[in-house]
Amino acid sequence: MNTLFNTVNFWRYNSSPLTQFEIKDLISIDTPILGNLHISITNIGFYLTMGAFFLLIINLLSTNYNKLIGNSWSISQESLYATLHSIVVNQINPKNGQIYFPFIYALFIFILINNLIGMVPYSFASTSHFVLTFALSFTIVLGATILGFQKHGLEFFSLLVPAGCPLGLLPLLVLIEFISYLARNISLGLRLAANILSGHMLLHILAGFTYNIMTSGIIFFFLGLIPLAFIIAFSGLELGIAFIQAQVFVVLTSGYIKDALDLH
Amino acid sequence: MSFVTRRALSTLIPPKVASPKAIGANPDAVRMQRVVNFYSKLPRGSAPEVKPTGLLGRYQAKYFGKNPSAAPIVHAILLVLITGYAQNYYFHLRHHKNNAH
Amino acid sequence: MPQLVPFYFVNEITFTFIILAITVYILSKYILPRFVRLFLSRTFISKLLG
Repeated sequence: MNTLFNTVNFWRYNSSPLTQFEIKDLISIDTPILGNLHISITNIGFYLTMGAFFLLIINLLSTNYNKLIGNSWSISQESLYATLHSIVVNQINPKNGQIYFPFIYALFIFILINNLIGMVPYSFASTSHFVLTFALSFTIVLGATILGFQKHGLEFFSLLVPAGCPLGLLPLLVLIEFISYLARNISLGLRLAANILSGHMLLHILAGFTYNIMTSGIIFFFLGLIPLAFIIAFSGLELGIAFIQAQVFVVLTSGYIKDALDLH
Repeated sequence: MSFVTRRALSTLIPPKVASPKAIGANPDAVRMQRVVNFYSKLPRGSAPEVKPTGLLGRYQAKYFGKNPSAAPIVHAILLVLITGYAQNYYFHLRHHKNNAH
Repeated sequence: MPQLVPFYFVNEITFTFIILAITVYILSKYILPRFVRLFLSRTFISKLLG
């Protein structure tokens, strides 16, 4: 009984699959002058900075010295550019949508690089934090709303009226559309964070079990190769999710901007 | 000559296709002249070698230049791995070295 | 869940927005125009010249 209790305690306090998402101070300054502000570099800030650093270095180096014919590195960058450009052109507007291209590009790279950094063992998945993704999604939807009001004035509310709806149903439909418009805030951020979080937790739990299996005997070591194969397969799946979620986030952002520009 | 006879004659006489004058009056000639003009002004020979300078320049010349390789991806993963392990070790792993989980 | 512990929320968001803003600025001023110039010079050489 005692051992069981110890095991449970051990599991709870030491080996929770959520410990990998804990934020820790790396460098912290207490500033009593500025109202006791804690100015600190945490591990999430460290990894976000590292992602920005990688982005800068990759873009700086993979230019193939500005030659017209690219090598494989610059072609990878060009195809990334072409992919995002086609997203912007198709989702927003071929003419008016182009000014949002740098933002969409930066958003995609930011999410993708942070997803990929999270895939490296012992590192930190910044995009699994709901605060981060909700901050992004709320800002995007709020910005799109401001854009819509700026462009259309009070006519922007016609976004809430579906085309050709009977007058009797109008109050109900407007309410539903309004709720769905508000739900965009949540759904956009929740989708990204929940996907990354669930993937990392799944991998961590499976890896913990597999480690316990493989260290408990020579037969079990070979038996443990089967779940190990599953873990590797899931890692590949997570790699795909890292790309797909970044793309989905960007496509939906483009769709919201388009709604604000064109009102359906 | 009436219109009808002219039309009849023109169908009888084959059009002049293969004459040196017709080729010389090619509307593409002006374009070709411009293309030739442009390319004749370009510097000749193989492109000058860019001498890599600095740490980043030498890294670029080694992995991003003539024969690009995927090694920078491995380097990035290793960098993240090492810094991540160092943080994990400092905060967490050293406290239960013989008590693995 | 450590994501819901509100000690470092402001820290996270500050880092996110500063880095995203810097990224957008650097991309739109220095990096993305290079792609446009590259595509433009390719188009010039293959189509517009003639």
